[in-house]
Amino acid sequence: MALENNYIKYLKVSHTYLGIFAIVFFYISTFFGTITVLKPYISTWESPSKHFKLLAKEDINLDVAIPIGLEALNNPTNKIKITLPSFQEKSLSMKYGFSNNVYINPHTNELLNTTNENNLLSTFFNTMHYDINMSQSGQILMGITSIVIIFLTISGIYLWLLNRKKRKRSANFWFRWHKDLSLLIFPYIIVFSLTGAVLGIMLFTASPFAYSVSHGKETNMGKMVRPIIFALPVKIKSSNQPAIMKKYSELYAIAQENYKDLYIRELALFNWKDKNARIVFSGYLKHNRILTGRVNRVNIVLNGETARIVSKRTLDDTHEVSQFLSAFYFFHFMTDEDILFRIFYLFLGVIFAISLVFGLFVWIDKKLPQNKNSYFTIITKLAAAFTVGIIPATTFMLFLYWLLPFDIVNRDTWIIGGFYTMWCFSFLQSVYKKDVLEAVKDFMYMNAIFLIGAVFLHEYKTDMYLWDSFNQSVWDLFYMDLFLLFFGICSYLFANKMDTIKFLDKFKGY
Amino acid sequence: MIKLFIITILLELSLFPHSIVFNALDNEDGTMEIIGMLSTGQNTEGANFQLISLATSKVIYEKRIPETGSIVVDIPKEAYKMVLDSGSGHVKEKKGEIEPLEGFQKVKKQNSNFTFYIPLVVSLLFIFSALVLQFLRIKKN
Repeated sequence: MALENNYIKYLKVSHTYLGIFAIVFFYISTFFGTITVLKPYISTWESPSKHFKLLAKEDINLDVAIPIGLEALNNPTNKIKITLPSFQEKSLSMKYGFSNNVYINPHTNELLNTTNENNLLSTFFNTMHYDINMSQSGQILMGITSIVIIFLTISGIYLWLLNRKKRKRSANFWFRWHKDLSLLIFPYIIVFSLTGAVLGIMLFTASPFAYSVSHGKETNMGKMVRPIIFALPVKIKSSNQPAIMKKYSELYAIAQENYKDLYIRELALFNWKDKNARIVFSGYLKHNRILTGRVNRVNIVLNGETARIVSKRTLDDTHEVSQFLSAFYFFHFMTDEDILFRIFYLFLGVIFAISLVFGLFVWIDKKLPQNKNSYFTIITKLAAAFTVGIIPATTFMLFLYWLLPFDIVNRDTWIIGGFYTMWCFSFLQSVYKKDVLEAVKDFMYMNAIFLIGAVFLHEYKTDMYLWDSFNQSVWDLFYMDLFLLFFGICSYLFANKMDTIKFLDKFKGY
Repeated sequence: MIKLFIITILLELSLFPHSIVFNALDNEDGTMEIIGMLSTGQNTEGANFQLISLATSKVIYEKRIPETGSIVVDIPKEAYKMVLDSGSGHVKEKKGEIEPLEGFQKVKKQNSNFTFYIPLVVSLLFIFSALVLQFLRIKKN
């Protein structure tokens, strides 16, 4: 019995201390991951050239738009990839081989000038999400943290079951909420920690496997298994006999007619203007988005000259490992899912972030009474700056993004530097204010100013006011501005009413 | 099923990373050959290759990698870096180590990297003052 008690004691201690380690990194990852859920919409919001209505696929004039893109790419004839407009990218984008994309406005069929647009905000949020802006080492760190989260989830559930058996109910506010919220979103945590662990540590752990399996010949696992799982179509050689191609719209209609369940996302051209020309229409199955995600697309291949169907790849033709991967990644990336699913994930992300913060407070709450007026108080200040201070720091980026001229030198460095500076400032602020709640109030006021300022500057600089985006039915832009404005006003009201909210009394004295 | 799951997880570990590798080989005649390829062995046709001056940050040379996967370029006369951009955020940078036969010419550095240091110094200042303030407060009590 005593031995068992010791085990449980060790388990509790490891849950606590590993938890503190994991919270530091996973909170940042969850915070930015939750923002990244809205990546397609943020990306539109930050790119003035893409402030137009999403055009329905049937209204796109492929016969005019594609030749314009080809010309911009110096008329290549092989390995051309055309991505059709979607809610993620409203322009028609084209590239060949490993070239950069060129973008075409499908309304006017003109090339878009994206010189000063590099999706800084959405890319930075995504980077912070998967490697806290520390490249490879950050990614590995996030992978390890994800594994720790798996341990914490399992140990947390085990401890909960033990306590349930004893019918003990804790009176600690933080503990109760940490436990209840985590249990509520248990599937979400498991999905993200599993996928996060795989994505984070795959790079540095796969090489030894590959090295061992290939008897020391190869260290890249991808190089070995890619040809099996993602079998490439047999390379068709050019016949060197020029031919006249059928119209893109005609080929598109034939492909869709012969594969009704296929939702076409991409077109690829091979050996174009040759007798052996191939056009590949690929996408996901309308009735099975989970198994035909980004890593397991189905397609139909036509001959560019005769429109004869060369091959058709159905779900049954894809490798089962590839199907498994598609499902595995579906719940992390939601590639083809639009706003409803994303809002659902947004809520789960917010709940998880709160649960992590409450977990941290369980520990702080336990330690603080013994450490009043000691160096431990720095931790409570840091926690406030770290968890709440990150919000105004992030919105400060949005504000700076529209405040700074687009053509200044090192614009990205200024904006990202602004984020870190603001985050550090929030630490100073939380120390300066003595009472953490006072500091949080300031954070919320700052947040409101930055958000409302960012929306105003965005509208002023792009000359696309709320009523304009509403009248022109540019819904993603309209709702994005409205959401930011709403969030800003809520922050202001929250800061104003903070003294009257009873729940917040629990934070007093930190 | 369990077997399939285990195999999948093991195989899975390195399916996606296909980092770009590029090498510069000195032809010893004042030119160098740039070879770009993916870690999976594919060539990087279409990727944009640039030589950028370290002193002025100006693009000295720019060309897309052709189907052969390699290009021959004149070695710049000033210190440079090589950038291979293979689209969708896959950018690889390398400092140019191959020097021309007569060595690099010295070019006055124009663009100091103060943009990076200003936020860094201000951030450190904030952290330092916060720590000092809290330490003083603890000592006072």
